[in-house]
Amino acid sequence: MARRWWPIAPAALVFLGLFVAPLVYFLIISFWSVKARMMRPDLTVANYIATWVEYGDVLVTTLAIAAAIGFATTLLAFGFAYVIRFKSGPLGPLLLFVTLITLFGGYLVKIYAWKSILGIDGILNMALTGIGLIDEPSGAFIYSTNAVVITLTYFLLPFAVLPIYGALRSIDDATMEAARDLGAKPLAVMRDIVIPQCEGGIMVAFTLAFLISAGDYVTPRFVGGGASMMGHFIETQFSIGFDWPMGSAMSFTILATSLAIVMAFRALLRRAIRP
Amino acid sequence: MGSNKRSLDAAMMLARQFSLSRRQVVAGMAAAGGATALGAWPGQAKAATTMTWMGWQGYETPILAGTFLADNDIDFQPTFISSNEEIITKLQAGGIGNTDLITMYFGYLPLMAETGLLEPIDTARISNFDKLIPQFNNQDAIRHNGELMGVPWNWGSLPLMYDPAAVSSVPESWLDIMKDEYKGKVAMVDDPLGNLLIWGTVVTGKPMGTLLTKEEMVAVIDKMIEIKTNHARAFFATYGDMSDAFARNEVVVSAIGWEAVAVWTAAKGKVIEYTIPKEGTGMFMDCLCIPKDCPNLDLTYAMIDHIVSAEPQRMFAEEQSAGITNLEAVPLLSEGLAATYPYDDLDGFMQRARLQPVPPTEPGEFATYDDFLNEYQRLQKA
Repeated sequence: MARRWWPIAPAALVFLGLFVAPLVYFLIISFWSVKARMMRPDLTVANYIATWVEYGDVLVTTLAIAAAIGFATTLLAFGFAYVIRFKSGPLGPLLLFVTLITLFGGYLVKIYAWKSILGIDGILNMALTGIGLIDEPSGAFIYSTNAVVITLTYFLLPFAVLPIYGALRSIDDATMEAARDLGAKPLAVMRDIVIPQCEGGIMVAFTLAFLISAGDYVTPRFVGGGASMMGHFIETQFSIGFDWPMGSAMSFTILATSLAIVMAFRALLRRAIRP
Repeated sequence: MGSNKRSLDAAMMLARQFSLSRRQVVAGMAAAGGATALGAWPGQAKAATTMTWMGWQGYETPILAGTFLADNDIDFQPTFISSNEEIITKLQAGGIGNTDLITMYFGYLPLMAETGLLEPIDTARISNFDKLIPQFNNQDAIRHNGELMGVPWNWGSLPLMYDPAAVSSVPESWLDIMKDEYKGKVAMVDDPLGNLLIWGTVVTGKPMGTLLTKEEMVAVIDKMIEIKTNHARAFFATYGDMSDAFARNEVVVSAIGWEAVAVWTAAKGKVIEYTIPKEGTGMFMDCLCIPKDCPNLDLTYAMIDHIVSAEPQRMFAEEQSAGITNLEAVPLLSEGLAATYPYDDLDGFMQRARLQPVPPTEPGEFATYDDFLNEYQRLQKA
């Protein structure tokens, strides 16, 4: 019996050592305190209280931006995956390949690409001035929350398309044809057959997009022009703040609130698709 | 200074990695998992001595210069940082006893010495020490209880950068950036200490802008929030981003600066200049420090001596557009770089650009470092 588990032992050790153990460590020190720049073992919830008192506004902003990115990404990904699965015929594999190929670009490369697109001398401004929609290049497209949403949505789109497409592939065409034969309109087919059978894919897509956005602090710094999200302040505590316990408490707070939002989304989705 | 720029450099390096096939990735993961589980890496030719170093990406240039590593049979293991404070954190989290050399902003040396993170420097073991700029070597801030804690090896200042083609006149005061003509065209950079070095003095009139009361600290941050919300184009993450914005004509003046930005921007085909306004500005100086219980002390001293020798200093200056401390290296610099830094009038320069300490750690007459950070986060949120 035990021999069955040997093959996964190395991976399990890596998982325990590099994921579980650090997580447990940071959970423990989130209840510690800091004196003279040194961590002191303690059992206090002061860091969690301080997180809500001092960073409550940033937390809400972060979750709101992440939710916007999560919804936008999931919606776009669903539409794209639906087209690939049901509407593009032999072009489907090509469209899927195009989706996947965007994964090859590096994270920072994509951020800088969007800086080039949204900047004052960027492609967007050139196009808008070229067709006469605006008289002179606008600086409003970059260094804003909108730029953060656009950049992260673009970055996360392939990650969201894949699970939804995978779920859509499992839908039997015969079921949809039967529904149509029985008089179901397209909206009813979508509501009663496609979305319920795709629920798992939608949840995975939203969860990925939402959680990655909630924890990101690089994109806001580079295209947000100072738009601050929670990750930025967590980084500050671990670096120039010398306060790992506070940083840990902030991390677990956003982790817990993010999971709560994902669970709420799941409940809402299930209620919405319930026949 | 320039910290964020260097962290970006490090991140870009990572982003360029991995052009492996799926098979190679899977094989690598399996090997890594097995090796980690067994607590060993597969066979790799090892040099006689492994030396560990922590500092900014690019700061390893002088170490790699020449044949120092080969001559001493050293396996050089650099760790790149994203902020000076990261070094303190890493030393506290197990780095003591495993780290040979670090490079550190001078302002943190007293704090690190107090907390027992540094070994005192024996200058008799550094043959090039007396060739270093005395104005830096003699700073009280790099000594603790009379003992030297770091060897100065590069420096620079934080001037006001401006686009000569876009400003009506050279700004004479830092407050000139708040003129209506520059509205929405001011560059700011998210460099906490750098901003305090400048605006602490501008707002309070005190020569040491880092030694402020709590009320003064609040006033400084209020002024910076006013600039950020009403005048700034963006609160840039890096000095490199600021350079890009100048090159794209998105900004015409800056609320903070670094001589290297002018060099980078010139490389993009855009000429910008810099000036030290009447209020003066801050200056930075990075030091080579030996962590407590350094495992290879003799080689570490040899490495320090190598880093501050003339040719490695020249190479570093040319590659990073940095100020250097070995006076014998100055004549070796290219004309443009030598003119960038006022080696011939350092005393006069240091009257206008001042080396300032980090805010104190303990409560007292002045706002503490923690008070400053709390206030600075108000600026980041604004």
